[in-house]
Amino acid sequence: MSDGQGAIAIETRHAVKRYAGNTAVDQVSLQVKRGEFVSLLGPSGCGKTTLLRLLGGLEQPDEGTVLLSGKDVSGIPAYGRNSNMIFQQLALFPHMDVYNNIAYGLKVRKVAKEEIKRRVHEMLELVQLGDYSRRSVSQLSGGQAQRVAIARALINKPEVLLLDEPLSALDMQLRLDMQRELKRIQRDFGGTFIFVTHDQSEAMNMSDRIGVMRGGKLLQYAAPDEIYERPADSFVAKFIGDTNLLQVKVLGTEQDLVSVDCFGSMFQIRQSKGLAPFQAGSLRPLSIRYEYVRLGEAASRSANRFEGRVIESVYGGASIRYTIDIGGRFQLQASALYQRGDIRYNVGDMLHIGFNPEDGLLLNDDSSGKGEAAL
Amino acid sequence: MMRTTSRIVGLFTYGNGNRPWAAQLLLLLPAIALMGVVYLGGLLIFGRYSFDLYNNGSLVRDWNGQAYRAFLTDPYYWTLIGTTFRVAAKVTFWSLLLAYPLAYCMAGLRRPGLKQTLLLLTFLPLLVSAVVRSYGWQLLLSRQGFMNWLFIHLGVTDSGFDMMYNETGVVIALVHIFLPFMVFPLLNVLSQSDNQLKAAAHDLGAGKWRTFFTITFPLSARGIASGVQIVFTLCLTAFTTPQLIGGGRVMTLPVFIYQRTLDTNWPMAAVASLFLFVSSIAVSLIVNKGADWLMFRRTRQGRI
Amino acid sequence: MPKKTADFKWLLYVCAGAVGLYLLLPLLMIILTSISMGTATKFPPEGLTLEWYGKLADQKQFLQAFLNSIAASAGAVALALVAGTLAALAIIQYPFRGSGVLRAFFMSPMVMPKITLGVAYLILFSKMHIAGGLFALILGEAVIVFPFVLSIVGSAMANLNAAHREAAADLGAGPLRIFFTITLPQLRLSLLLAGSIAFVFTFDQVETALLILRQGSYTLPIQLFLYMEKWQDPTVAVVSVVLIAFALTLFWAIKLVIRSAPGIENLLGGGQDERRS
Repeated sequence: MSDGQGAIAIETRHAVKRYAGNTAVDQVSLQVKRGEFVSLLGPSGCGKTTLLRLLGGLEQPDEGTVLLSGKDVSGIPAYGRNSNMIFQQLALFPHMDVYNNIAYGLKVRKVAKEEIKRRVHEMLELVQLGDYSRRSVSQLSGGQAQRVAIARALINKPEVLLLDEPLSALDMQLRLDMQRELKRIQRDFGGTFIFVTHDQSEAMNMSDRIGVMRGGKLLQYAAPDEIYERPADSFVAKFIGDTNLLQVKVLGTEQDLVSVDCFGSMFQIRQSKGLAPFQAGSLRPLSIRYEYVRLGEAASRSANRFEGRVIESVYGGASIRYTIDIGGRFQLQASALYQRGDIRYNVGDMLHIGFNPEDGLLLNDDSSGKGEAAL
Repeated sequence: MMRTTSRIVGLFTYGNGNRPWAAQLLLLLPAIALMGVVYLGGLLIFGRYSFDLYNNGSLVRDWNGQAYRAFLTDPYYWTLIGTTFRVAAKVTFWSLLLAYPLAYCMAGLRRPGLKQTLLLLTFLPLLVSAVVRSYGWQLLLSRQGFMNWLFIHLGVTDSGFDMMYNETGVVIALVHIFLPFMVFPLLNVLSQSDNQLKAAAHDLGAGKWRTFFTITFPLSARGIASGVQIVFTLCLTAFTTPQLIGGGRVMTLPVFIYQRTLDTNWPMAAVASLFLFVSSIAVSLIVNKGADWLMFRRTRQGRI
Repeated sequence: MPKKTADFKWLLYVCAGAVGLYLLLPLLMIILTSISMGTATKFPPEGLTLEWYGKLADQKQFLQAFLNSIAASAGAVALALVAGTLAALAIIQYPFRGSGVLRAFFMSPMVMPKITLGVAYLILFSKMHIAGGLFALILGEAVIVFPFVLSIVGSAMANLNAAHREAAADLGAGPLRIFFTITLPQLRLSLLLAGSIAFVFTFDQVETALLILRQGSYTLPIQLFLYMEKWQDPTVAVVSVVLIAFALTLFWAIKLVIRSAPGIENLLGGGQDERRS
């Protein structure tokens, strides 16, 4: 990809990393464009942190290559690379104050004293910690320590900033603030950020693109809306957003409508683009997002209609989530937007349910079987 | 060019999560040189001498078990071993007897100042050379020394006791020297044993003594075991004090090894050394296992 | 009942006090002897004088021995600190197959009878033709204090956060720089602690020094030891007092340094005391 010289900040090609027989990163190829905010998302142990450490040079791949700005950096240790990392526990140096923590990278590069001073203060401004330079790191609050870690990493003007779940230790409110703050810093600083997280909403909030990982494999790498609307398999569908997964049997395809049998009900599903036609008789997971399950009046206009009984109703402020039993054969979760005065169903109510062919998604079986064995 | 440099650098940096062998070896080099040559080398050469023959002041290179045989069969050496173990046992016993109340008192103190002072008092003798401390005991124990002056004035004796150049003096001085090693482990467990537990036992109607014997003492068994282990093994191998206070008349194994070394009877010195080493390890193991066994039995009984 | 309890407490305090006195008695006796008149050491002394302190200046061999002691101890401690810290880096930070055995071997001088080591050194160093000198003593003593360094520095190192080293590497620092700017500064208190314990220990070492040193390179404990075997005058007491004073000064100096550095309480287990009191 010679044309990627300018546009691609960092890239892995078929990277493999094994630990004692386990494959932590399995043939991952990933391209991150300059200026992008990319999240690596997956459950713990999926290999996302290992992938990040490969990118940062803290680990070296057993196979494959890592390219930084188009240059092969495989085999070059972390200190030889112009990428910086923010660690999960931040790893601020306890024996140095804030100033010396931030200045560390510049001192290593033997930058002149005056220059260091100027840039440290610039960084302190950027992360809004103006007069904290002489504080000991043990006196910082969680959010302040976070900012120091960011400043320490950014002062080297890295081509890529790698963030290893840095927000996971913060409480909810601070976490939301820091998410916003990180986006602002990225905007002001204009760098490429790669962010590892296991929190799908965090990934959705912040990223230009998300890479979903499981069992060392990169399952899908795409923009948030694409991942949400067209998940690569049932694992991705379930991991990002809330969805009903139903095991269905393919009956046949007519034009772009697939007929499936779901516990005795016949549904029509629109064939998604780019997927090979489904074989009649094969079993597939069918995904229907909670909010695409129409209820009552709205259901009557849907192509697929049936009836069910509410067995649970959870009030969530802006929306209500219902658990609906369909004739004792299966259950669906539905989430309905709710404003005062809207109809609200009670437990035990019978109601019409429906969904449209384009709102159901027939998926490839998730490849988890193998993936889970590997980790 | 870049590759080569990075390869060389790579030799000494974290490869696959591990430091490469070249860097590891480089780091271990000084330690291995020191411990391998000076320590292991010295011991092996010394050990080799145990198979040599000693004939009227001269050494004959040989592969012979004569020194071993003599050491294990001659009653003289058994007296020697007996003295060494007897002194060690006496010292351990008295150390425990003296250290326990001191540690118990320190653990119970609520005033940090007083506690610090006592701690310093216990710790202080450790800073002073065994030679100096043995000298202090020489002054105290000699015929015209303070102890005899005190005993005579108290009317305990008319003529004074012989406390120098015999086992009594050696034991008294050794207890002094090794007491801190008994106090620290005891203090450690006694400080940790829960005051609430004591209060609970008290609440259940156990008296002071009963609380002590059913709660505090069993809980400190671990500390006693490690104190006993340390003091006993230190005593087995103690040289300075037995030599100075015993004046050559209290023959323990280390003193014996020293004297054999001086008359270049290295085979016998080597055999005695080996015996000393093996027995101090054996004592450590036995005391540890014994303590485990006792504790185990206790808890078992408690549960039934 | 409360009265009875109080009585027992008294008894306990008396016992503890007696033990405390027992611990102090020899040192007090030495101080008294050092200022007593007459060459025979007996109690009560014939009178008090400071003349023995004045005569110390004539005993040049003690000053020389003191300097020898300092040199030998400092050399042994420095050697043990360097070798021990490097070995700890290899064994603790990146354990390898067999590192447990190597560690056990490195710790074994702790249980090795010192007199045995002394004889072994005597034989080895004669064969190497370095017996008798301070250099031989330094090598020998370094072996004896090596386990102290390895265990104290090693356990401190095991508590260091590996992420700090990775962060430094990530910020561009090479292995050497990481060691000097990240690892070493965080270890300085345990190095000081290990160094002081090792220093005191080697300074008082008798068994090995007695066997391998020859006249002219005697250390202070050896000089005293040999002097005591021949003479019984208060010179020994005076030298002892000086030694005690030296030990105390050293102790307070270290304590002062340690107190000025925060966080050391945890290292010394003093934190526990504070919690209790």
